[in-house]
Amino acid sequence: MVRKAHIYTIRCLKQTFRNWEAYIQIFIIPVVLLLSFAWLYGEGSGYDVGHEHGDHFKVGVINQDNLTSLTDVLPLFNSHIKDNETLIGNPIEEGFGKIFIDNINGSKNLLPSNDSRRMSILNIDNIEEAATAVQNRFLSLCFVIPNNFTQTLLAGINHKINITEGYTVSNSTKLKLSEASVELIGDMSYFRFTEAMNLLEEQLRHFIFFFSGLELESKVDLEHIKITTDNFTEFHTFIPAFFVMTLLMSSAGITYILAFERDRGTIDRLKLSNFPKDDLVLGLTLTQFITTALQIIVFFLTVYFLGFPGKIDLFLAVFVALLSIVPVLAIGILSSVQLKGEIAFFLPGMLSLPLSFLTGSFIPLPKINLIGEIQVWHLNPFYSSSEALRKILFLNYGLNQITFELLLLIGVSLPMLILSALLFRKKIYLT
Amino acid sequence: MSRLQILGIAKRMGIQTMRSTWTIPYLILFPLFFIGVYWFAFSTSNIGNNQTFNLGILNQDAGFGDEMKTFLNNESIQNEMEWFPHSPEIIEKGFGFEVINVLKDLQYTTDSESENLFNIHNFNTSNELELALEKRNLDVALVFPQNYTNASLSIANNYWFTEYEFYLHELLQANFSDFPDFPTNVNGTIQIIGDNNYLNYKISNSILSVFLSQYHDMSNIFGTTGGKLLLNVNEDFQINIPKYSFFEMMVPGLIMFAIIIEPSLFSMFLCNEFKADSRTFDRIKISPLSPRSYVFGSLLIQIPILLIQTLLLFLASLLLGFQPYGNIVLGFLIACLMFPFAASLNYITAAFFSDENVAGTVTGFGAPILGFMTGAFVDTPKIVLFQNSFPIASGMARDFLLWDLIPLTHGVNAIRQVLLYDFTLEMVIYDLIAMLILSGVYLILFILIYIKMRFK
Repeated sequence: MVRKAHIYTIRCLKQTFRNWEAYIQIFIIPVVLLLSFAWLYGEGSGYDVGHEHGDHFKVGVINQDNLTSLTDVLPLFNSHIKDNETLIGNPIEEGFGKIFIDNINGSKNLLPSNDSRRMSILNIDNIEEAATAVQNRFLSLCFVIPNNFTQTLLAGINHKINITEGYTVSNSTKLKLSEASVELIGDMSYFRFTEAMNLLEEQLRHFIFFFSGLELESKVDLEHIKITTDNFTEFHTFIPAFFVMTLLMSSAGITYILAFERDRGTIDRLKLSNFPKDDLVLGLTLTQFITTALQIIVFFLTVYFLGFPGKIDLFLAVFVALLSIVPVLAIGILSSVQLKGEIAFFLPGMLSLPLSFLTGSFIPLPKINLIGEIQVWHLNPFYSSSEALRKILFLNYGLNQITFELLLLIGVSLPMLILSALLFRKKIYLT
Repeated sequence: MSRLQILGIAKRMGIQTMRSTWTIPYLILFPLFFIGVYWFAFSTSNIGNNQTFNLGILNQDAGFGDEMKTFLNNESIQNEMEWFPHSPEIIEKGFGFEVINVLKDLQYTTDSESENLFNIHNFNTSNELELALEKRNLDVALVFPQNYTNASLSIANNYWFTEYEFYLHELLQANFSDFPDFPTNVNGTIQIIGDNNYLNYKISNSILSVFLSQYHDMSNIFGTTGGKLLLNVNEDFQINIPKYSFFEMMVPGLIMFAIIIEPSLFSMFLCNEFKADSRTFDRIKISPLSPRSYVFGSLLIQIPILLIQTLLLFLASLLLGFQPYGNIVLGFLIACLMFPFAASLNYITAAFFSDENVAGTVTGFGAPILGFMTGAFVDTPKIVLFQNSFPIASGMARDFLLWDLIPLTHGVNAIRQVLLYDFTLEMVIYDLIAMLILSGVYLILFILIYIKMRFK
């Protein structure tokens, strides 16, 4: 049996590679896919909104800062403010609100590090205009500078001078205790809102500190510790999902060969010659396995040469990837006997994106436990394989640490393969 | 080019399409399946929408020293220090315990039915904690250092000194002469641990950082004597933005993506036409049929397919609980206007590939790349081509990005704004115009390439 299957496999492989378009499918398309996504979400793509060198944020402001009520006390602060040459503009003449905006737009002094400027502020006239701009995502957020903004900062400066130098610049009751509330307008479901809010808050703190020195020195420091040792970009995080997409795209291979065989009348001849069905299944399966394995190798080599920051156990990753071909074979065999015509070639492309989302690599999936540690998502064998890959690529796990995922992968996909093969045997000479 | 020829081609292709056993079930089932998968995966997900995070805690805080405990249990000292958290449990277990209690009760709003921010899970060792993070049973973890209580006392003491030039314990010692000194200049580090590749960690880390900074801001406890600046999210405005589930937020992008990928089944039919063994194209070439008649005929038959599919996509979304805030009819019309671009992709695929398997792969890979580039699923990086040059509603102009060269970007923007935020036609008109012009350009260009590659 094995010999016949072996001969049939070689024949199918020759037939596959006789078509130049197959080379594009196996060797070029995975590379193009990875390069495209590396460009979109890789290092230097500007997508790392959470990192220092990330996107540029456009923020709106409604500046209501009012100086007229402070005309009597403002000149008293002139000499103190003039000493501060770090920032551009004169807040005594123009108000702290405008100076804050000008400094964000025109200098790097308010930035937390030697970073490139990441925020620009546009003046907005009213709340309605701000709402429209926020909803169509033109602005990441809009903030409202209240009318007592300058007054509050002057109160802080007054207090600071009182503490450090022992006198008050002004005894005006307006400056005794003042509280200003900067309101933010934004769509909290938009993830750039949170990022822009954090950036704005940080710059506002710097601004206040420059003038009032009121920032408090905390002795309880926060330390952010990553459980992964390297800096991975979004592109790297998405790799298990791209892998699943690549796998599924290859699942039409068996259908392709079988359609070709039918067109040429080979299936009829095999049927007449009593060619064993098992050899036919095995031959087709091996052909599909080999072409998909080649595609996987190309995939991982591309990942490697694109510069993966961590230490990859390439052999273990490829081993898991090879096991992940089992469910692909099951889908391939099943669709080759159940589906006919264009739809059979079209279906893998349709399945690849939804199933790659079901790995949770793009967006985390909610936890729905089935039994013990097994979640409902484990019923999708590609979830198990992407979880195993995540642990190998990002956490440097070894074989013994991913046995749970591997057992689930095999446990779900092997019955799928057996059932598909049985159905194939039953139907192949009937169609 | 004659009308009869065009209709003849359309009829032939229509019959051929419908004759395929699986085409009709596919056309009906795929919209349900496609939207259904995302509904299944994300309808219960509350990412970015009052999400409750799993927070692991390793509390190593040693608490107060024995001498301090004795004093803090003294009722008259407690009366003197009303601002000081002094429940028996805090005195026994320290400030770490207090923070955990606050975190446990933290809610998104003051409403009694509001969701908690965190589900707290206590751990005894850092290994257990790390393992839970790696398995993603936890979203984020906090480790309180052994000297956390002392460091907290030190912050309060130092703050008091900065504000009033004498230490807090000196204030207490004025009335209780043997009251021990509070520590000064004690450093403690709270660790926030998590997987930086995990979206839930990124969000919860941000929330925790803000919370802990505010918690340790002594001006919140003692009040300030000078100016105080607050940063508040405008709640009134938030009420005007409807709360969508994560699935609902995805629906407009999914619909637009499905519209460009679903009709690509047609590209397989086009491929099949000029396969060497089918010979259809050889016969077409020697017939009096002009290439333009062929293209118009094939274009015509795609229109009803697209209309039905778009309708089914909307129906599937509504059936699965999508409740658009805006005008659904306008949303449907915008979706239908994506047709020229969807069709153009069929022609460019069929121009270069004759093998259905490869064409299927190209479509299967190409469409998701387009979907990601245009922000149909997750946001795109901003690659600016021209600054402040694309007009938007309310008379402003946004940057023209690289992705704006793709009609799908404008389609996704427009349908999202209409369905989710109730934008009117006037407010999305610029995106619609850009989408139509670009779609037309691509359609003409790709048809010309198709004719050149296949008819000459």
